[in-house]
Amino acid sequence: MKQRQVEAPLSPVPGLHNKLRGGHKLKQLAKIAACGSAVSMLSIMGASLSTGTASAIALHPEGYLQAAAAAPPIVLPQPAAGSHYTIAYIPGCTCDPYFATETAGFLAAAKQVGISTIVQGPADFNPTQQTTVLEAVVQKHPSAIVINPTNLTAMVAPINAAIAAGIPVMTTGNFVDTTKIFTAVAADSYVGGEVAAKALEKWIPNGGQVVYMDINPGVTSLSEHEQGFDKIMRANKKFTILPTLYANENSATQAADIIEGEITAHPKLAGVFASNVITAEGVANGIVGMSEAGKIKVVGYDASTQEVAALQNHSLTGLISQSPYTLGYMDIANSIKYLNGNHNLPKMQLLQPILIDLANLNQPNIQKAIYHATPY
Amino acid sequence: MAGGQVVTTTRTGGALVHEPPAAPTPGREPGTRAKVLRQLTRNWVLLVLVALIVTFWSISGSEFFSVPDFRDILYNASESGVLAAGMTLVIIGGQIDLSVGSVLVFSSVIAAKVIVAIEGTGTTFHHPDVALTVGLLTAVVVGTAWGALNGVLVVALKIPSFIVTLGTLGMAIGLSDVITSGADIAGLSPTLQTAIGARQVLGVPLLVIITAAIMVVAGIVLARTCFGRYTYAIGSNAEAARRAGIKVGRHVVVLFTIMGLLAGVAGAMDIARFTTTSVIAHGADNLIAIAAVVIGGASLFGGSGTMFRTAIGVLIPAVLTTGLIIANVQSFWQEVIIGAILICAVAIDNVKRSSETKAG
Amino acid sequence: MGGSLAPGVEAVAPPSVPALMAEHISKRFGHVQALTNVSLSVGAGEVLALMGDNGAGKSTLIKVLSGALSPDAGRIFVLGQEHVLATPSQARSIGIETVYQDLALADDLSACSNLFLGRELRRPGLLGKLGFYDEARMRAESVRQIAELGARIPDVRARVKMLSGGQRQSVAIARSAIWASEVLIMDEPTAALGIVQTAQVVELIKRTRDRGVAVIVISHSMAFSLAVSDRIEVLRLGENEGSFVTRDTTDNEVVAAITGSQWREARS
Repeated sequence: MKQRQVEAPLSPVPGLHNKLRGGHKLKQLAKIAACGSAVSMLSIMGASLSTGTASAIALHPEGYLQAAAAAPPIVLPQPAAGSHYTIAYIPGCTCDPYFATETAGFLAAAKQVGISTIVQGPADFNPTQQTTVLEAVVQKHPSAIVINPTNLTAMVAPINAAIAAGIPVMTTGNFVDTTKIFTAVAADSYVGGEVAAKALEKWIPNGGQVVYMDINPGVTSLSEHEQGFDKIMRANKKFTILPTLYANENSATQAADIIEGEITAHPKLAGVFASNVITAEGVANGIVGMSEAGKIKVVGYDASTQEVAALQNHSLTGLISQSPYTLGYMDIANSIKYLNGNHNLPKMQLLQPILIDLANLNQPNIQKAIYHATPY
Repeated sequence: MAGGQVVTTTRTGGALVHEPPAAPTPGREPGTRAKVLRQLTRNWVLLVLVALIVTFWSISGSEFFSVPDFRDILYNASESGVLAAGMTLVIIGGQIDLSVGSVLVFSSVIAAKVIVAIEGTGTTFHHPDVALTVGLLTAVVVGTAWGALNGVLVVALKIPSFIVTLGTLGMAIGLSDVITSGADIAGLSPTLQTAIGARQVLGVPLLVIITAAIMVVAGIVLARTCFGRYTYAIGSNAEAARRAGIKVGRHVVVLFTIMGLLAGVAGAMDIARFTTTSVIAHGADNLIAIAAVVIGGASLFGGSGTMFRTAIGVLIPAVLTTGLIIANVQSFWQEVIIGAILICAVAIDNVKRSSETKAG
Repeated sequence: MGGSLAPGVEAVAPPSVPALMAEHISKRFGHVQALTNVSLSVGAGEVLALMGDNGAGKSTLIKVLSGALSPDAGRIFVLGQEHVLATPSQARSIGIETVYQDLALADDLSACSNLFLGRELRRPGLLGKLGFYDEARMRAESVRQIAELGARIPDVRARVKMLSGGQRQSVAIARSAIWASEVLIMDEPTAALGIVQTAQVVELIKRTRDRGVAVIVISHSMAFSLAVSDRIEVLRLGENEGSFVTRDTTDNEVVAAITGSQWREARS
């Protein structure tokens, strides 16, 4: 089963999770503020007026979307003089355009500052294969390793072993349950759910029935989408949330079948939120099959080129990108910072997910957020 | 006509029909050099493995050819090795077992549940040693039960093992999903890793020692005991075995039970290594185990193969995977190369052994 | 294992008690009466050729004698003692061995392994109890037995599938001949063999007979039956059609019995 599991960091106290988000939100907003865009200043002020939770977005949906679109590119630090860094990137698998896109960003950033790279990934998204790759890469003694861990717990031992062998490690995308990594970058799954909800609110002004298509009940990133989505939708009395659907085989065909069944059972279905590339592509097919393209509004997570095509034929109405290309840049940037001597990087650096629709599809920053599957 | 015309040529004590001379008369032992050559040509896959190691050594030097790297290769191959050992017995016996990955997962799930039930979750664990022991033993027992079920279905219902184990493959993984609701069971106490999963004895990972021990014992049983010989006989010609008085049905049930037991052991090794179940990660384990046996030169129809060659069959893909990563070969090309080399290895082995057959 | 006579010693006239005697055997399959009241006897150190056309009932009779089938009526005596042969294993345990037409050899195993299949010689002591067999001893014994029987198998350790058709036949016969203490039954042993190999099988059978074993051979081949047997028993349509002493009969006479032609010399 190919799926990306973006998993929550462990917090010993329930609710601390949200507080952590608030804290990091402030740091992130501070970063954006430092770049000085007027529009973003407005939305930031709007956001910082809030209690620091994601409900800030409710106040300025338009402003938020524009702010995300205008997010400036990552500034890459120069490697220390006389250094020869080799940075390795280990994706969750070589099976998904998300990882191919992050690799592209990773390689482009490395080229820009002139450092060597190693890119090796397992064929399937599973920790057994990824451990083999990680251990082999460790044998090559890179200066640092960036890894998208396939399992919160299973990858702890191999990652700790790499660190013990003298190689600093950071994570991207998914989290791993160890404090020894020097930083973790990812797109914010909870906010992603909220963004999806806000988008459906905008496109279905009169309200109606909506549903979320998940894969497995236990995948935390997908559950976070659902939590963010639920939070916004429940607050809006115009919407009814139907019971969550599960496409547990992570297959587009199954997702298509399920959504067709749902539309038959609920002819008034107005909106769908699909949890990842596969379900989004499947739902798009199902929508076309039921001739509902354009009528039912669908937000799909991730932004593969196939999903973009669905956007253009109205079987998807919006995509939520996790900006893997930008994450690739952040991988290089943070690795260089650490190797240059900055050992006080933030524990977690979360990106705002970006909503892509037909209105902003052709903006250059938005184009960068699309997952162009690039060969390795 | 009272009798046939018999041309007799008196040779070593018998009245024989004149026939063209054949290979050495029975009883004459070949010299040591001939023995070694014979072993090498029989185990051509060993030379393939050595060639691979030498090749990667020359490409990557000490990045590849080092103790830590070899240790990693063996460690990562330990679960496959255990499964391949059981699969060797099953395939030599003329059967096949597709359910091994699912049984591994199911065993690990039940074991994890038991461990959590005993020691609790969170940051404090009650009696982690007891939990660990009971849990891991549970994995073995559960695996054995699945194996016995496979065997009974194959023998009693006379359904081909391919179909039976395809069915139990689905059932075992399905039940695992039902029990876990698709969410891996994590948060097992770290004692699991420190006591077993990550433990090393004299620099060798404990799991590697376990795998090696299993392969050695199973190999000796195959090569030197009646049980092993009957396995070869049943795989070669079940009817002949039956007529020789061997209890074929019972033997086949035992083969599948052993396979299930070893799948349970692999499940125990899995959670000991990762302190979590990995329900989605073992879908291809059956093919990896079968491939190891076949790369080793066993016939899929049964009757031939050895544990030593299966071990090589486990190591060749393991060395290839790690070697190619260290050699910086692009990920996608790795799969192409591994597939091509597997075909070559088996082809060379086949050619060697059939030419040996023709030479008589 | 094997007969009581040392190699090279000529067999004397058969003793008065037959090694194997079958009386009034009948067997029906559905509407087909395969055997009706068939009797047969063979003495130690005697070769009996069982002949008949297709459908005469030879295979059925053999299966009854080897314990693979239970007769509807009739009795079987081995050395004067009555036995009920419920399974082939039981037949084997009283010393009746059968070589079937398909040979039932495990092709991937060596000749030596096949000879001892199911009856391996164990190692002494604890190892033996755990199931460890004694390869060296079995190999030596195989070599000895095969040489004694005059079969020519170049290497008893070579896999059987690498042997020629005649050699495989020799292994199959040797396997049964070694273990047959009373009766050796063979179903069409030369059906697929050439002249040279057939002669080799004739030799094997004679040596087994010389050990004091009673041999029953089914064959279509007149030449073979006349060459190897001491007596010939003919079945036709499930009944005894005639008994002949080989050296006193002619092929015409036997053929006549097989086909049921009216012309035949009256013999007892």
